[in-house]
Amino acid sequence: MTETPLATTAAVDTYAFLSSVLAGIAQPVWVVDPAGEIRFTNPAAIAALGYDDAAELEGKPSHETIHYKHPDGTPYPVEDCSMLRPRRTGETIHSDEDWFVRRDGTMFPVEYWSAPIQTPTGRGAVVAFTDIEERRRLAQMTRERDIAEARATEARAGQRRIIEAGDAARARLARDLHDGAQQQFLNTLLHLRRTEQKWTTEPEQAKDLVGRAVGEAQSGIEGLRELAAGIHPAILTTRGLAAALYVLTGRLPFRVELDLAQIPLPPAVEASVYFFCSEALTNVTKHAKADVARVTTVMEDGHLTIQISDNGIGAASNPAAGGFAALTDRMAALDGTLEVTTTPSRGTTLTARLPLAPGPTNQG
Amino acid sequence: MMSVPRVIRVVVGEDQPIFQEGIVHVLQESGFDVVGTAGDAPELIRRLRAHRPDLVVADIQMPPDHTDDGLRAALEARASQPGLGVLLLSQFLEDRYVLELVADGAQGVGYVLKERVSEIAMFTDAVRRVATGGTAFDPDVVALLVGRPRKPGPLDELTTRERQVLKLIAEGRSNPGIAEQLVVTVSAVEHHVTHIFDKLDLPNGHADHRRVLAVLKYLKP
Repeated sequence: MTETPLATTAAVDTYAFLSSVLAGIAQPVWVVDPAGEIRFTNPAAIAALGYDDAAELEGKPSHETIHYKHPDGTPYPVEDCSMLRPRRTGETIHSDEDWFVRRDGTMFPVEYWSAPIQTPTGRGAVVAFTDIEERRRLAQMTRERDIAEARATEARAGQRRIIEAGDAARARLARDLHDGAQQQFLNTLLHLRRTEQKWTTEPEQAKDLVGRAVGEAQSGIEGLRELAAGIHPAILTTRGLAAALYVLTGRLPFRVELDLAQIPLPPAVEASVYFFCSEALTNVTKHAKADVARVTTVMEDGHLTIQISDNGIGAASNPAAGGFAALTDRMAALDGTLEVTTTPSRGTTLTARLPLAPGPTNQG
Repeated sequence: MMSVPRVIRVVVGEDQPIFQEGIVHVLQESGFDVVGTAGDAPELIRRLRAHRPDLVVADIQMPPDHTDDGLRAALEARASQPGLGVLLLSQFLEDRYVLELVADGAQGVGYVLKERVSEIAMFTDAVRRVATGGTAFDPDVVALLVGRPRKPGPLDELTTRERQVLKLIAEGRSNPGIAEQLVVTVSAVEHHVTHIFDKLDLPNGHADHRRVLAVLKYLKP
């Protein structure tokens, strides 16, 4: 390098001037000469980069000292670095987010401005940066809070829908009992009362009435049985999910293949999974026009995945969203998720995934 | 009705008093000897040990747990008294128990819906069959098992009449019993049975309880 003594003197003056201006400023600033070497750092920059003294940085190559790697640890080649470009092009560079390396090798996120500056040896760059770690942390907290709020709102809406669905189910149950069994047993009673009257005077008619009473009582019992099975099938308690699904699917108008993981589930989860499948298969019955469906459960990484697929017309063409919302709510109540994929004329697949606390297993 | 050489001794397990009384009446009026009754599973086991009857008629769902206590009590009693007939009554239409009951043989087992008790001829026929080592499964339950949607297979090749016969075999009926139900001759039934077993590729010519087992195993998905 061929520097004149005059230039060196001028340089000392320039940096001494900068030093006096920037010493008390909280904004970290440093200056790089045309060769890319650090010529000046203010105290804020020295502290932010984890050094004790300006002498430790001055004369060092800027990129190789504080900018040589990415946050994931991979090297950051100097050719890719835009921070020092103002030296060559005269432009001003701004970056919302980059990463600098401290003396101990740890990294911190920064926002920086890099502008050309005339140094005694030619065009260099002055870099002013801000440590944005705190800003990022706050933004992250805000984001998390927003997400939590959105989730809570969604959960409240889901809970309301679950309660409404429960109320609607109770109303339906009362109506079914009223129109069904109650009516049939009332008819039974009426037929028997009339039989009583006609017993001696019109024995043939009385006999016919008894027959009708028996018929009414029988359909009353059948109605109650169906109703009870729909509310909570006894076999779910006695024999578990697989047996209950076996019984349920035997009554459907299409074939259902069951491929269920042999895992003991907590009773409440088992019931929820049963009703989830029951509701999903009811959707298939109502909308899909399928001739085969498949129910698969897999236990993996502490999560139970339930997949219900059919080979029907696909739900895209019919707005069965109400059904899916109820299913989504059911899963959300268990901290689970539901994904629906459907292709016209290629069927629908529901994939539910819910976390499970490790249960009692006999394996290993 | 054929005369019974020896009076069949029965213990009844049912927790609802009115219905228990109803079962006892039906059985007594049909010539069975009800030697004991029980309202819960532990009591049922004690009665069965004390009386060693030919048959236990028990509600599947009983105290103390109201799950399948009656079923478990009856099977437990049978483990210590081989040959004890077990006829279970169910409030629910569940073909699953049928497959469970025949898991190790279809001899002296039955499963019927509770309301069949009121169809006296059918119920007492079931009681007699199970007490004498036969099988009796509820027509509606078997219909569920036979009607279950399944992959295309040899079952599709059965004629309507053959399907009717298959269903009656699964209920545990003998050839004369099937003939009576369908109002055809016994030899006509034998003819259908041969065809069915050929089509399904099942070994034929076994005792009634063996062919029930073969058919139910075939129907099991």
